[in-house]
Amino acid sequence: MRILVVEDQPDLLRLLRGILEEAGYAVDTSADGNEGLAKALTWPYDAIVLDLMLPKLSGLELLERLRVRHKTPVLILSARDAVPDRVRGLDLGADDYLPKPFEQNELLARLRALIRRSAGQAQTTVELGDIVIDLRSKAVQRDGEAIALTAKEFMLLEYLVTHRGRVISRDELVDHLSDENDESNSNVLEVYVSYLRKKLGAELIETKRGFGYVINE
Amino acid sequence: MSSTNEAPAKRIVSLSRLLFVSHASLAAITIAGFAAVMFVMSYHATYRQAEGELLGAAELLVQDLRNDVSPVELTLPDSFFHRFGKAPRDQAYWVLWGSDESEVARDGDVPDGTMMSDRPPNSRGPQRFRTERFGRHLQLFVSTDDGGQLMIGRPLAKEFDSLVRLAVRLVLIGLLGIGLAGAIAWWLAKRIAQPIIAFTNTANSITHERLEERLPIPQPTREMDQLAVSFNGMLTELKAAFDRQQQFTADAAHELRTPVAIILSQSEFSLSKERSSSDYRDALTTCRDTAAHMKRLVNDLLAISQAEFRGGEMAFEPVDLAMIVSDAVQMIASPARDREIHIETDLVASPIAGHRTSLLQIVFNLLSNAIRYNTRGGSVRVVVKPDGAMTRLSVADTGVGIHPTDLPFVWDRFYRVDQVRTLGGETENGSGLGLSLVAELVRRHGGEVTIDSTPDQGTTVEAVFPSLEPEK
Repeated sequence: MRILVVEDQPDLLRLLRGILEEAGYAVDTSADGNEGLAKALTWPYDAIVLDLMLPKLSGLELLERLRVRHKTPVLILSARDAVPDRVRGLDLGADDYLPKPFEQNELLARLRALIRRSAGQAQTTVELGDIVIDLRSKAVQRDGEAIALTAKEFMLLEYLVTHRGRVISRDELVDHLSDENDESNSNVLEVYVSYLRKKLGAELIETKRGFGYVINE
Repeated sequence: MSSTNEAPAKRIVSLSRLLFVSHASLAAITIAGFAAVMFVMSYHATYRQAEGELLGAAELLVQDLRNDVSPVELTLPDSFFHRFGKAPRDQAYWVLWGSDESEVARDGDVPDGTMMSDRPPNSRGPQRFRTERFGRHLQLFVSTDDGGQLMIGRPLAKEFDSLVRLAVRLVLIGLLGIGLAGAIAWWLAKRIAQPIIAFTNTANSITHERLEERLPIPQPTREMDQLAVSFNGMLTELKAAFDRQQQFTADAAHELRTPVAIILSQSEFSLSKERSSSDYRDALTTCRDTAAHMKRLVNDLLAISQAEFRGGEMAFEPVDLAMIVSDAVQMIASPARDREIHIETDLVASPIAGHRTSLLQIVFNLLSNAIRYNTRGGSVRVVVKPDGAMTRLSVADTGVGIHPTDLPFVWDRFYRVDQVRTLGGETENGSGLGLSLVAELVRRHGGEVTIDSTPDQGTTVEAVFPSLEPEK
């Protein structure tokens, strides 16, 4: 899952990147509204964390322009806490509103919910045959036994499971699993898929040759 | 009800009662006085009339005597019989005495104890008769030609009856009048007191949460109207002050949210798992810098709220603005050296009436901005000089300047120009309160402050204070 953070306060931006990366997201950052909008229009983010008072282009303007064509889930993170501000943000197309100061756990829970909802899923626990995936605690069980996955492996599994039933192209996977600074070769995708197959069984992830990968419901 | 209404209510008479009692008693006194006067006048008129009638009868009898009618044959004409009244109790009687004080003749129902007058009436002059009351009887004496006296009298029965009737009517009409006057007084008292009661109720209902309430205008009387107008004016001012205060609190809370978010996130993030000691050091540095920023913010907030809300407690004394500027320049010398900024001064001794600490704060804030938003190797020029009745302070820098679209907002609280390259690094960011504090403090000194700026050329802030008149 790839997330864009638009925040002009440098300390807070650094912290948000740290929090989100440790929660297993690929994170892009932007310190002003114009750059943020450009990135949001360029990459297929799974969610955007947006501050409202930004230099160059305010958060609300960014949101308004983004919403012309994009449905990317947006969580507004703002020091402006008054009801009219929240209403305006939500009316302009934000999906959630979290006032500063925020608690780390709440931010992460709201982001998970946003991403889950935009993919059309409701539960945090997914059962696929003998495999149980808990998206909240990032734990995977096979036949009641815990399976240890690396962060990258889980990110790949999470994306395919969240969008299960749909064939995901290699490009889409690469776009959603790596941030803008990730220089790794896209061939590593195959490597992670093979690791997952080894740990969870070969039949879980199906390869559609020429199209991509799919986890069937 | 508020506690202020717990005054000793027993001794304080209500306005409507006071008005009612005074109006009603005034009306009662007037009516009673009028009735009394009317009764007395009517009483006298009745007597005069009875007197006149008796005098007419007496003169007729005396005339008859002159015409040698025998005293025994004297009679009153029928016309008097009708005038006095037909009832026997109204009928007249008469007694004739000779010059030797012996009774010569009498007629009618003469009451016992009737005697001739001991002071004989005048036989000439304007009043040739005497009247005396004898119980309810009126008796009139005249002198006869032979030196005797004639007395004619009658009980005033029908006159007394009509006087009693008049008295009863006067009392009844008076009572009715007093009742009516009381009702009018009650209505008047209500009419006068009601708006005041309504006024009080509205005033009581206005709390700090309902400051937008106003008293209705126009009020029923001009005085009340003026009172309501000034009361409403006071409310408007109060509300404005209250709104300012609330806005200030909201702004302050809002400004504190971001640094709190940083400290909270940083500590949560650092504690979420085991970190290296250099990570901990970085985290603590972030927390310290953010807390330092909060400290500046809180100090500035306190200073500005004191300047803005603490009325006229600022004690002014004669101070030399040039001295204050040179103090401030010394205070800022070290940070200026660090940034290789040269401070030029052109100071002419200029006495003004001011508050030393506030003036120092003004100059220090202006100098800090001039250094913070300057370029390395730039300069700041500070000028203090008298200009007519005013004293001019100007601080000009060769810094980054302010874009014209931002210029109108620099006095607003918490306004910070986006994306300025400061020389102190990010953690040195101001609170956004410096210039609004300057503006407020200059205003409190009866001065004015203006700003002029060209991007990439520099900014000049000019403050003008009223000069102190040199003592003669």
